[in-house]
Amino acid sequence: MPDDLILKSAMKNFLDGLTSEVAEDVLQLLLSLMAAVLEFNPGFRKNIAGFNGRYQFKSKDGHITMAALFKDNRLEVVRDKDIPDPDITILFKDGKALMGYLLSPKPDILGSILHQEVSLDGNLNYLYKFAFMSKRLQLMAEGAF
Amino acid sequence: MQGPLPLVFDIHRFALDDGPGIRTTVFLKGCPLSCSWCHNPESMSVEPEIAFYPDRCIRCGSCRDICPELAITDGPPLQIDRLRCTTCGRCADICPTTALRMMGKEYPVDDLLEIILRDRHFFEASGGGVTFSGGEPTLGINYLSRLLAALKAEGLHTAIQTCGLFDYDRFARKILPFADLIMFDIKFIAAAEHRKYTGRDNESILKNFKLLASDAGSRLLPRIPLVPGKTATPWNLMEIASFLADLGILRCDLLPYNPAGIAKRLAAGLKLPTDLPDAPLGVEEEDDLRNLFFNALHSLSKSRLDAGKYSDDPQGGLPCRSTSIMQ
Amino acid sequence: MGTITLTDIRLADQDLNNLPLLKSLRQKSLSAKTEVCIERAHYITTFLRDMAVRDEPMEIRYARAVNHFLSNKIPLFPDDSLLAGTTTSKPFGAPVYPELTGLTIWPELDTMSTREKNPQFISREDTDVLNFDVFPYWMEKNILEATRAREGNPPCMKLFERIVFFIASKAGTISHTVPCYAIALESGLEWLIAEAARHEEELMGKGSLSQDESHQLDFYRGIQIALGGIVAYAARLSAKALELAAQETDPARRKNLAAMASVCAQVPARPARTFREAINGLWILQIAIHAESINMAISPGRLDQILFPWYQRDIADGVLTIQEAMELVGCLWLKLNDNTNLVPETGEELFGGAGTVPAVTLGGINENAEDAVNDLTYIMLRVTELLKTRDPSMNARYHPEINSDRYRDRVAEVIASTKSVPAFYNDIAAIKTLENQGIATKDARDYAIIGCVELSASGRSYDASSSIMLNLVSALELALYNGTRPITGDEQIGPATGTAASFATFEQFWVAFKTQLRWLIGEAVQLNEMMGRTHQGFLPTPLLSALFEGPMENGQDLIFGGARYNSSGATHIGFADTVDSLNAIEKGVFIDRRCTFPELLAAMKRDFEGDAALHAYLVNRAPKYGSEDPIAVKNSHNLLQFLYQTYQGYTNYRGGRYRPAYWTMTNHAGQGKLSGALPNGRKAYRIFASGITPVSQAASELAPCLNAVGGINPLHIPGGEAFNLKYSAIKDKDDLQKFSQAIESYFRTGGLHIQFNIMSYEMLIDAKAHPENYPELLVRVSGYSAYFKDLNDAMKDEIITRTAYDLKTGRSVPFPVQQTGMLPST
Repeated sequence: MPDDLILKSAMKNFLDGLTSEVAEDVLQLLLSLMAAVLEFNPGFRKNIAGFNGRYQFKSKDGHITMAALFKDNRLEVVRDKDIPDPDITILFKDGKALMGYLLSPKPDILGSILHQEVSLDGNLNYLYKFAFMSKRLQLMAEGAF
Repeated sequence: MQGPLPLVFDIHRFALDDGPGIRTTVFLKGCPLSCSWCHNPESMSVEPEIAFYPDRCIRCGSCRDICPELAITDGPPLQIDRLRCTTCGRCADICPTTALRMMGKEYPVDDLLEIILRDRHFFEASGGGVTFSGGEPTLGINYLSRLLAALKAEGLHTAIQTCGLFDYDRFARKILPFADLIMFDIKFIAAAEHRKYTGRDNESILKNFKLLASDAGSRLLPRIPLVPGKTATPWNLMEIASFLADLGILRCDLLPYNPAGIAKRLAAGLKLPTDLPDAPLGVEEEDDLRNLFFNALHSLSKSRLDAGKYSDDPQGGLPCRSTSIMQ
Repeated sequence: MGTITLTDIRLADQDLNNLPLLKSLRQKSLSAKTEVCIERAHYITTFLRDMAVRDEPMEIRYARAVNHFLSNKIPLFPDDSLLAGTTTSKPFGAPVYPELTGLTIWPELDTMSTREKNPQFISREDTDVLNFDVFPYWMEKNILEATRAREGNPPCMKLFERIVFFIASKAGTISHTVPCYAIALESGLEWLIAEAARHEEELMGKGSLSQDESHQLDFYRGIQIALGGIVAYAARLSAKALELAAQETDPARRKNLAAMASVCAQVPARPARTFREAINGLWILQIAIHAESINMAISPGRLDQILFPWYQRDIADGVLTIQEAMELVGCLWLKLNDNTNLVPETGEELFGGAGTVPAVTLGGINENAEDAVNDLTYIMLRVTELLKTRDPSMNARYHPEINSDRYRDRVAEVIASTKSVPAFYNDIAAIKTLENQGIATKDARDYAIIGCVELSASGRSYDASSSIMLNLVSALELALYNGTRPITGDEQIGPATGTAASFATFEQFWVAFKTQLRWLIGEAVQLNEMMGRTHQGFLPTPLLSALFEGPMENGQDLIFGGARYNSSGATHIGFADTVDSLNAIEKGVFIDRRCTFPELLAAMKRDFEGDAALHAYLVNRAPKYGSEDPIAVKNSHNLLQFLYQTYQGYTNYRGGRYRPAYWTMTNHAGQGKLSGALPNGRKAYRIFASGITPVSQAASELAPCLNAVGGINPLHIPGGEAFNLKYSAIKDKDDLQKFSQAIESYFRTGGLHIQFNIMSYEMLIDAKAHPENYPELLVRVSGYSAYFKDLNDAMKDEIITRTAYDLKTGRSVPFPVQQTGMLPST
């Protein structure tokens, strides 16, 4: 199955990219992988059945602005643009900090607060949902699902 | 308040070893004896002293800089020229770690009472009270008398620990009416040894003890420090037992030797006597001596009692106070 | 009035060897693994989403949801307990409350089963139910987000979400209370339902109703529906027990099941007739409250008083032996351990190791100021001594003038034997404190403890005692840095009250500090009020209200102020560190002039690197809370008084006053790890002291420490305090006597609360290094009890470093030299 191959390579890229220092890279990798898996994997797509969610991601230095829009059972990734009325805005120091926050097997929550790595503005439940999906994706990429 | 007050060098609150219950023990400076084994050597002199605890020193130099007599050189180890030192206490005031401490502080009677009374609940809940120790607390006998009287007026249990060298008449007037417990140290019966180790004769000490045995009754409690090789010899203990049995006294505390005096002497810059034991007796040895002592005390007093039946000496040492035997 | 008929109040001849049932249940309980229970989340969510009639009033809808859950709740008999009923569908379950903070677990659903620290197991199927079915429904509706949406994401909420200023516990709990079980046990739920129906009829008879009256009508209907759910659950338990009894081949088990079938057929619907019925009825009510309110500190209260009439009657009638009573009490104790909180990884850092802290209160005096200690008090003490379990959180009341020394000595002995429980309370101080809050004397005398240490006129006062946890050090830092905090960078958080250089006197700084504190309290209270209104809009509590004095007469739910008394509790983190910092500033900067204020801040910024002399001065010479230094006494009293006056100036949404308190759970360790160096010489990111306890190793003398803490005016601490004292050992009878006498004197000084860990530094250090050797080591944290192995490392260090006193000298034991790196200031 070509779809399967595309997914597999996307997942490999993603796992490799997790160690990257460049925020834009990992975030972009995560969102594009998520979009692809949502497209091809009906089981995973069930997560966004009827779900409308608007996520704004921004780096604290202002260099990175991305958005993830969930609508009509699809994920649309928007680059370099502020979206209106986000459900939640996620402000992060760098990509490592963001991925550590979302995906680390043992998140250092106090460390994250201490170093002000990630701050949030908006409905936290949207973040929790997104974090669940990201974690599930990571586990899928690692072959656990 | 006229004249300088006796100096207090420690106030030990929640003290459990200086009489019944939970107590506050006030340690006063100055002692007429100079027992080589004294575990409170900082109490010997009536003057204030500066103590130095090298393990707390961080060598910041604050003391050296502030000393007006230039008496401190900051080593290591830090040295105080005790001849130059006027014990003004500025070094202890500035020392950030309390490595330097002033030994000896004046407390007006009311101030000391206020501190003692803070623990009234502890005394009342435990049947405890207040103990004056030292040093020799009766050196400042007027001061001590005022304190004891005030504490009795507060309804508290009072105790003193004494080496026994005092003017009996003054003691009988100023202390005896206000002390619920008199812990009286007996070191030696033999005059020569007493003089050798304490620097003073024991004649008036033993005389005072005998007087108190009749005047203080059960409020008198003899205590023997068990200093290895010195007081803690079978012969000495037998002699003391005999002395006590003569007076019909069956209660006596035997106190294990406390080598804390060594470190305290070093801290205070005092000379270390050469023959100071560095540990108390071994458990077995101590038990043996205790048994020896109390067996002797009991059998002697029993025989004195039996003898007393046929004696016309009413002071013959009836063991009328043979309440408990404190071991 | 207390009656002691026991020949030996220690019950020394009763132990786990002649109580084999308790022995085996205890082993099971200690080795139980946590499983996530989604049963309640599933039933409540599906009912509200799919079955509720939308235009029905919220009171009715919610009551129906609770009834729906209870009516479907699985009747589980997981072991040989004498008591029927389980809090969750698992032998040891962590229930999910999606309307509160349940959704915080969402990101961890796939990993929480296998996480390193205190894993909580959840199956793939249950994960799917939560992920696809339950959680999405609550995304806009849980308390936090409903409040955010209604209030437009207000600044106070964003401040809360920084975590480092205050925690608005109301987002996670509508609990922390002592219900009234006595009436339901004496009269039965059917009677309560009939009462509600009578009130309903009365209102119906009125014809046209005002808006208030129609709310009352809904409330009375809601009570009947919710209580009906409990009756249904008990009936299911009874039926299931009967069914299991029929299948059971073991005669003892069959007999027990049959007995439970009969008990559950009677209680809690109808009046309890026997001690066993009373105790099982009470347990079913306790379970039922968790259908509505989260499993946090729902505290059964004075069980030795509540259950005594049945005990006394059964003993007199010869149908109960002391051994049987101990078995039943023991079963209840273990049942209270059958559930735990759902805790995400973050929570582990801030609250790790806590149970659900259902507090039981023993002893003290009764409403008529008579000695209330009875045989059951001693039975419960003995069971506590034998079981040594984390929950229930045990509390002993003691009236120094009315209770006996013998009782005090016995409680002391149980503490010595368990090394940690029960906590001890002074009736004189507690009753006076509650009276000062407007509680009638009779009711104040009947107080019980909520959760950790909070005082409550039990069953009559709805205290929501865990509403706010405020970090005092954050206010101190705001004052030091002109409204900013190092951890939040340059951002202006609080009002600009001046830079350190601008303060010419300590009084000027004190004013700035008060300004920051007043502002912070204002923010915290504002958010609590907002969330309280959300509770009123979404989460009525008809079931709990029915088990309370007040709501039935008033026709008003608890969350609308239906209880006879109301309050909200605000507890404080970092009290001793804040006081000691104030002392250090006052003495070091303004009296001794060891440095200027800016120099002090500069040294703190360097974490005292290169400032050995100044640091040593701050640690050794600055006045310490826990001593009798007049500066320390003044600053501690002033701070307590200021907080008292500030909070009491606020009235909550239920018409009650805010009550400041000083207990910290494990937050003082967590918040300490988020805070830079402090003026008292505490270094950056070290733990804070717990509760109202002096800073570790700061108060070296026992008597002054007990006097300093005991000398605090309890009226200023209406919410309660946790004073954690550690002794390295209680070696012999003499020690035990001194231990008990020291408690007595602390209480006579005026102390309100005290609790202990009887443990040496060396043992605790070893327990941290070799947890496998200490599987059952129970410690008192700062309010509740926890198994030491379950605590996070910072919290373990905090317990280890607490000053240990030697009962033989009244002085602190030197801390092991090679471990001093753990201490707050080295």
